[in-house]
Amino acid sequence: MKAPLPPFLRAVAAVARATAVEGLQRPVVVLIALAGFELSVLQPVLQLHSFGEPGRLARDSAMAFMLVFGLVAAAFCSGEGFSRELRDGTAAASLAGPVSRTSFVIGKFLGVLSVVAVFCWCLSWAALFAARTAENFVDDEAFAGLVRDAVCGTVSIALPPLALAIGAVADWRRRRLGLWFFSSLSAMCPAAAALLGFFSRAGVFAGFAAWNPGLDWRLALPLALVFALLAAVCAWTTAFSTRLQTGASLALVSAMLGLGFFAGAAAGSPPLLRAFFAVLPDTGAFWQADALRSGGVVSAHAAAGAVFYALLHIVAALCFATASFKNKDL
Amino acid sequence: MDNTSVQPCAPASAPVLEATDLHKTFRDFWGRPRAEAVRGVSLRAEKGEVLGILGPNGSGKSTTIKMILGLTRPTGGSVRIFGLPSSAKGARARIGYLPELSQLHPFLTPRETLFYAAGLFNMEKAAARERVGQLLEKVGISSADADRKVGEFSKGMARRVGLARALLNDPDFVVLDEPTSGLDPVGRREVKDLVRGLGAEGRTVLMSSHLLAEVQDVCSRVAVLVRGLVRAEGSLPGLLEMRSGPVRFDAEGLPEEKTGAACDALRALGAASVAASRPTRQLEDFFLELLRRSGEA
Repeated sequence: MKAPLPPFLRAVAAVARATAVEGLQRPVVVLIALAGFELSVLQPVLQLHSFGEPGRLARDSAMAFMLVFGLVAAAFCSGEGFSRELRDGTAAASLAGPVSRTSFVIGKFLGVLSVVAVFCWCLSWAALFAARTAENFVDDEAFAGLVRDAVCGTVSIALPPLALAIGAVADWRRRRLGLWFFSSLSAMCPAAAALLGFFSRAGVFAGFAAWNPGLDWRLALPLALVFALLAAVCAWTTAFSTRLQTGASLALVSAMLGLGFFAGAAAGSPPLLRAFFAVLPDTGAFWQADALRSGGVVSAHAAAGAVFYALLHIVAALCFATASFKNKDL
Repeated sequence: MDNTSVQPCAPASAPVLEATDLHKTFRDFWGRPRAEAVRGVSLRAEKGEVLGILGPNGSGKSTTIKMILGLTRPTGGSVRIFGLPSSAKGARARIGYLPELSQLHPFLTPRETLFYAAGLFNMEKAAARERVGQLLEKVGISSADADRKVGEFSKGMARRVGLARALLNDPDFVVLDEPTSGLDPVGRREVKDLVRGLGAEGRTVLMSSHLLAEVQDVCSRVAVLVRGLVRAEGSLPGLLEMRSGPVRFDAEGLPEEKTGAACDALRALGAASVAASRPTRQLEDFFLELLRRSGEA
């Protein structure tokens, strides 16, 4: 028999679930994901140079789209899911029950994190598709030159509209556009990757025996690190949302991330400046796009270090959020 | 409902609500006093009592309610619910709260809203499913509406969902902040009947309202707040009884032709002026009867 969860965890799970459902149902979040996905998979079609290496521009751009759009989605979900709740009184209705403020904060963070996880899952596939679609130098008897994977490009561009159509049907029946859009896109991406395995990059059906999805799996770790950075962003936006509005939280987190890119260069600077950069997230630790240059890979050791670093930030941000929210008048 | 972890350990004879000398001063960013919202409010409610808080805007009604619920920290004074501090989970597990304006999560359906609340109250899934179904029916939300987003609802419909949410944990103490706000006359009557029913079931209700007639209809006791102070408190008959002025007689079954004789008899007993008239109905009763006859309610 399954043991019941302790009340604290039940409350955390309830808050997280409601926040996640509400976040995924928000039309703005659907739009952000749609824009991020389409821009990522359209990039190889529109690019005019290879950035020194076939596929590099496409994968770097896709990672950048995931970071920027993910940042907006995280700040929006935290802001709307937390500061709006405080402003409108829905948080008061929840906290009038036997729910601790700590469990409420943690639940909110996990809810927003779930939305960002779904978002990153979809955009990670977009990055993998973009890298496959991107120009590939072909040199054989029939053709010599740069080509794009037309089948992969077409399929990946068609996925979000298809998911949107499924969402629209669900919305007509049960007002469930966002949930169905994200769940169908999440499921269709790996299915499309499996289907593309039967086609060569030249768009020719290669047969069942020669199945190979042709995706650049080296991208998986750098994409996971972007997600780790976004998880830390979720924690900080949750913390700031206990006191600030959505726009202010977004501006503050963006400034933190922007300045965080310079954290690595602060080694020889005065102690005060070093201390300032020490508390900011070192964004560069999570941005490993350059490590993939010329067939390189991100080492598991570096990735584990960055994930641990993200976890420290999450714990620090949640402690800050709990302390800030503990005595707030609702 | 699984309340094993939040069993209260208070004396059985303790009043349901005991707020003593509550003060609240709001401060600005620099910690300077900005507004003194509540200046020494004391309230007490016993089991089965329907206590109304009346007062104009800015009188401190909502702040008092939030302090009672532990949502706002009092600057001074104390609150005990079922003999426990208001922050105790054992006390809060027995409270149902309907906030002012029933702000709900706009992208959740009523069913999801209630399941969310059930999770917060640590209810078992099967019990929650049964209770959610009962409450949706009780507040008049159809099964088709139960799967629509709350953001699409009218103010009155959202209020019904808020009420269902407030009653989800089968509370012993129900706090209603402007419960009929946004409701049409039919809905208002239903809420008033519901509040009366809660009192009759032995639950304690604390209700704030701007609408005097509404409070008069349902409350057994009233506290009037003005500028953060309780200016009057007591049972309604005690507060409303006029010690001087005319005396009213209700005579049921008196034939029309004998009304004059009755008036003469009163004059003979020394009454300076005597008037006889037929009682009138409340406009609300008239309106509801009209709707009933038209098949609208």
